[in-house]
Amino acid sequence: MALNGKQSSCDYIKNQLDHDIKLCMVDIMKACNQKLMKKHGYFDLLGCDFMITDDNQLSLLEINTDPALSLGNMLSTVLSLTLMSSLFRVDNKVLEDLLPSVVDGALDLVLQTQGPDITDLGSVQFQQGNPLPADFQLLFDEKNNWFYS
Amino acid sequence: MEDHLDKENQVNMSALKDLQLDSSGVSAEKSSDLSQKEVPVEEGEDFLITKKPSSAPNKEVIIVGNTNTDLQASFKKFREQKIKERQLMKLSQQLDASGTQRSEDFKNALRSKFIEKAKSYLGVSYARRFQDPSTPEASLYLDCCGLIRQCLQDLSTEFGFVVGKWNQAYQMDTLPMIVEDISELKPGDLIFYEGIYSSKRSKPQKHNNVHVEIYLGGEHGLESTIGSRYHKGTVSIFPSYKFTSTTWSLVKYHYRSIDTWLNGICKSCCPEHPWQSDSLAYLEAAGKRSIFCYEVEGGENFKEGGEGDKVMSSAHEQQDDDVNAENGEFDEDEISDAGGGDEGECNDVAVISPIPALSEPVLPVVSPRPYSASQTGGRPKANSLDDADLLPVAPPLSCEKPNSQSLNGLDAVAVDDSEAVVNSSAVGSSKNSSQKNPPRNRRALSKSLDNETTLTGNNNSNSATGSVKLVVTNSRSVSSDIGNADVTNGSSKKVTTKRISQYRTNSTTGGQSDSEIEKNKVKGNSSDVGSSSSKPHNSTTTGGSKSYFVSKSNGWKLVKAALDARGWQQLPFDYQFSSKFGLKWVERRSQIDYRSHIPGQLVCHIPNNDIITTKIGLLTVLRDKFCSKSLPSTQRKAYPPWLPLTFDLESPSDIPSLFEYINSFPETEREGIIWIYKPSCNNRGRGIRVISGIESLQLICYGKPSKDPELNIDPLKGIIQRYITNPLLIGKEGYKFDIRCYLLISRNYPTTYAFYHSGYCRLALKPYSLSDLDDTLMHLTNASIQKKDPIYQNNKDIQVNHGFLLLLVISSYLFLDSISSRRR
Repeated sequence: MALNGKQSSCDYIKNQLDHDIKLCMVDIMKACNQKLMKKHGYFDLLGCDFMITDDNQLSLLEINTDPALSLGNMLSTVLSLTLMSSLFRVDNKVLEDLLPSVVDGALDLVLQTQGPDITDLGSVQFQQGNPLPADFQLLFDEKNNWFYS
Repeated sequence: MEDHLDKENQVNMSALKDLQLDSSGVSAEKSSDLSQKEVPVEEGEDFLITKKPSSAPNKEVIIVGNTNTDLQASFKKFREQKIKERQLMKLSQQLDASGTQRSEDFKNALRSKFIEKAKSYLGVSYARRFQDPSTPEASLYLDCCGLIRQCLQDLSTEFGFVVGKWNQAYQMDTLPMIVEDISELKPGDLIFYEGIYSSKRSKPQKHNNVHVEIYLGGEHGLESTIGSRYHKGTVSIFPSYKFTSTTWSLVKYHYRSIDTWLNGICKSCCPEHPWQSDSLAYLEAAGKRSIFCYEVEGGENFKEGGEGDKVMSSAHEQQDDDVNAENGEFDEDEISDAGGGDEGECNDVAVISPIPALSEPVLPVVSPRPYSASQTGGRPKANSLDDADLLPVAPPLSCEKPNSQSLNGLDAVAVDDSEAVVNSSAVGSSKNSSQKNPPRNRRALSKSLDNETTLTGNNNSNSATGSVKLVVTNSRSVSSDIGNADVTNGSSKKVTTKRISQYRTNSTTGGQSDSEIEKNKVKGNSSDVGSSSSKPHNSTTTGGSKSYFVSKSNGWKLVKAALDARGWQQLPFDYQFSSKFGLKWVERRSQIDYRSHIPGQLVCHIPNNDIITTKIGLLTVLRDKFCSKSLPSTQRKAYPPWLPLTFDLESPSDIPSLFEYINSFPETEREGIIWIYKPSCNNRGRGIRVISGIESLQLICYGKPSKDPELNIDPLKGIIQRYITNPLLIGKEGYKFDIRCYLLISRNYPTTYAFYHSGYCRLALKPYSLSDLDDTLMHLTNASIQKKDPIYQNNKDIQVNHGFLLLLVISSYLFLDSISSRRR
């Protein structure tokens, strides 16, 4: 069953999925921002799990604190499975780079946004389209009242 | 017994129970006169325990815990002993770092003391069962490693270290000097036995190290040893180290010279087993707040003062002031409390990354009072200011802030740092207010400041005052600081305009300028001497010192790599309780002490992130935002479209709503609705069940009350969601997948930034089907399911043989080719 019959799913993933996920995250941020405890120094890297239905509806499954970052140790075993390698074209390199880049990028952003100066907020201008570390994208900038939309 | 004692090293009540045991444990004074404890060398089982050396802990004391023994006095004694231990540990670390060798004479004398000490325990039982039942229970049993541990403990002052609590495997790991042949052993050296236990039930020892004996040689015979063998039952002298054990079969003898011990060094040289002592580290991490904090100079005060609570409670500020006044020293605590380090901690860092600067003497300008390296554990801290420009510049930061602050601000930073260095020279002191600083310290300070400001090319007087103020404001005790600040900050407009709590403002700014570089020098210097952990406000980019703690868990290596690349310095893993860090990355929120969190210290979890990371929390938050509470839950269509229909089992109104919802369907369809039950807090898919049918639902919602506890089923807590039965599937077989994205809240005060990362995609390992709802493999893609895979059988968490996951990178949409939407 190739994708021929499901071109719409492919299109959705290509063109719409990221957008929907970001909108969902913005919604979550709007919902929780005022409820989270706030203090200079706090940051959090959360793992958000989503699912897509065959009619292209995004579903949020859950949000995880402390998302798995130890991808490395399962890669070799998992990828060696014949089942998988025959089914999918898997780019080992991409996988191996993914989590380190997430961590690295996250720390970069934390360090950039959390200057030692509590009042110094405008030092880094995040604008949509500006490349950010590790392909992170700005979602929510409270100070400038900017949200992904 | 020592084992037991050591495990209880932490400050808790069980420590109280044990404290009396250790009258000989760290007998710093006692062990100096060995003669008293010497016992005629006798061999044989008839050597009764009642004749055991006087140094052995006295059983009676244990019982006394229940009677009228003065608990205070006992505890005081215990505390003194612990303090001594810590001092010894520091000394040992220092010895190690300095590479000092003791004289041969000293070592030979110590060697024979060690042997004599071992002989003094001849006849002590291996364990209770070897003891004559008619004799009172002994308070001391020595197995093979226990004998050595006991001897080392008795002689801890002479050796200059406190031996760890572990067994012979540890002991061998601390002895790197291998002796090839028995003939080259010196009396007192150790013979370790590598062996395999014959019983499969016996867990193998580390390195299969099953036994140890002390080589005697000489008059006792060329192969003679002293040791405690299981089958012999008591500490004895053996004519030969060779023997056949009933419990293990020998693989190899390992001969080890105790020379490193004689040099006062006892640390693991095994790359595999660090044998890090938790207990000491806990105490270290507790810093000055610990009543076991040893105060090298102020310490006597404490001891004589007696009451531990003084040290622990808020009164310690007063106490420390006194100490400082007496010692006439500048205090580091402004720094340490602002996330700063105490001397113990600093020292440890120094040991971790020893650098040549370690042995540099202290500059008089910084530390005017006499300074003894040995007392402080060899922290060469204050070698700094004048040397600042001689020391290597700290590595450039990888993510500098583009915006530089005013030079004044930077100047203040530099001064602040130098201050930190100055302050770190204060040993064994705590909170202080700047008024108490004796004039000469002020002089020293301002001199150093002059230095600093000269380097940075800024107005001297201004920065000097600024710095004094910074010293003041660094203290966490804001109320008193405000007063101080008022006194001192008059001339520094720059600073006075800022609020105390914003002292960090001054240290902000990661711009690249001369002063910045100077600051880095100072910073680099101070971190070199091991006090980097003490100054979170040092770092240019982070507002914290560039020291980080990462717990050895999920992904820590990635965090370490990322931070190391940025020039951060890692704190030891046993510093999990330390409040002195610039950044902390740990698995759970409970590993972060939010009460002692200082603004600007980076911590990787928001304390109440459970409002979105638990299912119920998230539901509540979303309902608050998107749903009118007045609506019945069946009509809460206002949910964001991406939220599946969800019912909270702990909300009284939700369960009726759930059944209301079901009843809104035609009767024929009700049973067919598929639900997913998720426990609220469990992550990674634990406890999730896919169910259908009203009966199953009722069981979950209401439980099945029964008087028989075996049959009783309690209602479950968590959420029930409408199960998504039409997931998009991948591949010809049709595998379910989910998408793991990242939401990074990089800052949330005073404003919030959030970022998105597209993450990757995870696949269930079995083709999707609704025919078997119990088979969670095909339904769940959570990462933990993979843990149960046979591949991970070595992992103790594994209980069930379940499928595992494939990870794909969704950002590159590699799997697009194989998407299918086949249902069932």
